[in-house]
Amino acid sequence: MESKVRSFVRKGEVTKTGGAGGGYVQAVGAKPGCHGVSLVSSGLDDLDHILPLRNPLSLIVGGGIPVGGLVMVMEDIEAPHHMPLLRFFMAQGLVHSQPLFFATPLPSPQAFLGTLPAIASRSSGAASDNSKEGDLRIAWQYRRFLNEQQALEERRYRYEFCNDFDLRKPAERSLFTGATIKCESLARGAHLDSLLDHCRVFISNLARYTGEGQLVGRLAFQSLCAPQCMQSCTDWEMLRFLQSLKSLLRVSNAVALITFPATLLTPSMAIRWQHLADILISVEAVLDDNKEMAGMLTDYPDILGFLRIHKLASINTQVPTIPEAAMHAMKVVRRKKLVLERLLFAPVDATSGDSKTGGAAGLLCGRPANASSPLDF
Amino acid sequence: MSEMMEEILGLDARKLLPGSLILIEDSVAAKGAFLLNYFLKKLLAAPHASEEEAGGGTTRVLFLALSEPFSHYNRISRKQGCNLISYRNSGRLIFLDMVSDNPPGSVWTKGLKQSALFGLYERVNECVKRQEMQKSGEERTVIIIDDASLLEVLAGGVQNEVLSFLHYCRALYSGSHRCGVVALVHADTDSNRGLSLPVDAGAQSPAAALVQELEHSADVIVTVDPLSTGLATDVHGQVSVVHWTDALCSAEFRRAPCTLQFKLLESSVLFSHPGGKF
Repeated sequence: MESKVRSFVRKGEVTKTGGAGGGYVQAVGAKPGCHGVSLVSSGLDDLDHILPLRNPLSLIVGGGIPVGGLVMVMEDIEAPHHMPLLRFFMAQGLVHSQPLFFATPLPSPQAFLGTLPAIASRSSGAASDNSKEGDLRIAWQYRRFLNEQQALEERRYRYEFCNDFDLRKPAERSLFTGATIKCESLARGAHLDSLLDHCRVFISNLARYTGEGQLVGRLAFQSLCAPQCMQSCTDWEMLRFLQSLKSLLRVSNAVALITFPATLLTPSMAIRWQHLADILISVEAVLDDNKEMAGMLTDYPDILGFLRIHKLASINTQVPTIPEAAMHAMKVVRRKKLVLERLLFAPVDATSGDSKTGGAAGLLCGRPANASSPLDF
Repeated sequence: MSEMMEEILGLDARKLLPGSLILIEDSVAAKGAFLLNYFLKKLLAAPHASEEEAGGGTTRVLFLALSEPFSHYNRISRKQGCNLISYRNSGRLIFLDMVSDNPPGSVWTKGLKQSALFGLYERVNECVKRQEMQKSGEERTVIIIDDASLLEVLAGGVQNEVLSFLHYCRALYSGSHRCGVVALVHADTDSNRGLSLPVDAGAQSPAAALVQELEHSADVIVTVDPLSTGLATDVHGQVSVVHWTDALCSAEFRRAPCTLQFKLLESSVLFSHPGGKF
């Protein structure tokens, strides 16, 4: 007799497998996404909004990195634009008191932790609140409600899904006290077996927290295929490590972010790495002397670099998520906040006259240089 | 709309030639994993109606999952009206989950003294043989592999092991038929792809990539490509089907490669001719 199996599964059901396996994670800093996947923040508000999982709710709940997912950032060897993404990812985890695992080819990983950004102070917001209080004339006995409101705001801010970070200030020491941080240096080569064992122990420790007090762990790997790391292992061993890591993540409450200089790998290997990623991002440097680009974009001097989305996560679904725009500009606002903006193209300058030489529009719409007739495209 | 795909592919589990290899090729920009679910559903669900008239001939599926855990496929199939758990309980589906099943000492950890694929083949063999003991009537087994590129990783880049593994899988007897294999492979991992190498450069060029070797031995190749114009929300890509042998269709249908565009929905896949309406 065939046993009858329910196809109905309660939406919020928490199963033992956790992660992308099923059930939402009830943890600080995690929120439910679609297809039964929980989301955590990448630490960069704008990036979270680029990473929505496809459903109508995404407009309301926004997006994030799916728990159990593997994010890969392809580095540009000319500019270190992957570093802020890595720092924000780590700092956001610390703000939410999430355990952190960090592996880097730097000789002292602890020193890198000192460069994590601090939460942006809300001085401007607080000042306006004070002024509001000054304007508002209320009886003194109701003032305590204002204070309560403020305390509530503070607490909400503490548990906000994604915080604003100030690039100029290093993180407060209080963030590190009591935090579970495990650091590994790969300066003497990546010993992948022991590294995988450390990851396994780190991830299995997360499974101890169940029910309401679940924790989402974050694993950050900097420049995993840097020459220092690769001196003690082969390309295939590295791929095997990545696949093992991905399998570990899938059935646990953890997310991982790996940055890697793709140009140092052979093209075939780089593609294999990309296939293993759930979310694939690349960062590109801005060339100073690129006049064509400067003419095309309105705010070219402010742009720090470009961020390109190659692939978005499709866990528990077959429908791929297509980002609205693949290319985004990374900008720093008032030297402290990193924002991502969609590229804005400058309007065509009609007054420039000669369309053959005038500006970017001429380049794009004009005939090719070796065309015989002007109508030849 | 998936009739269009069925017509081109000619997939009929009862007529599937024993020992045939169906190869699905994809790339980073267009994932081909949806076709595995398509095949899974077709193989499990299709012969159900005609079970009696065909003399109890059923198709069993052995799914070798290396890239995603069972819950992933189960969720997708459930939305398409195919409950994998009930199939698994009834024995029609054997699911080898190499992702969730990842304890220290599993296939992913190093044990290079004995080939990792050898151990994996033993598991596959054991599962097929165990099912054979319980069989009733005439049966076929199809092994679906997600994905063969990961088998190569598992073998530490030794292509011959992967080819041997797939060959052994195709040579496995389940009842009186050999097992068919459906395998996904990432075609863009072949760095020489698309380059027209001069004939005399063959000696200097590196060994042919796994993809090329598999293409050579495949009966049907289904290629998933992104649109040349870039990503779009209305059309997710295109599939082209090339029949190399008569494994799925008769000789008169073997014509020029057919290309269809597809759009993925949660509950189904829509196919249309290029430029047509879904």
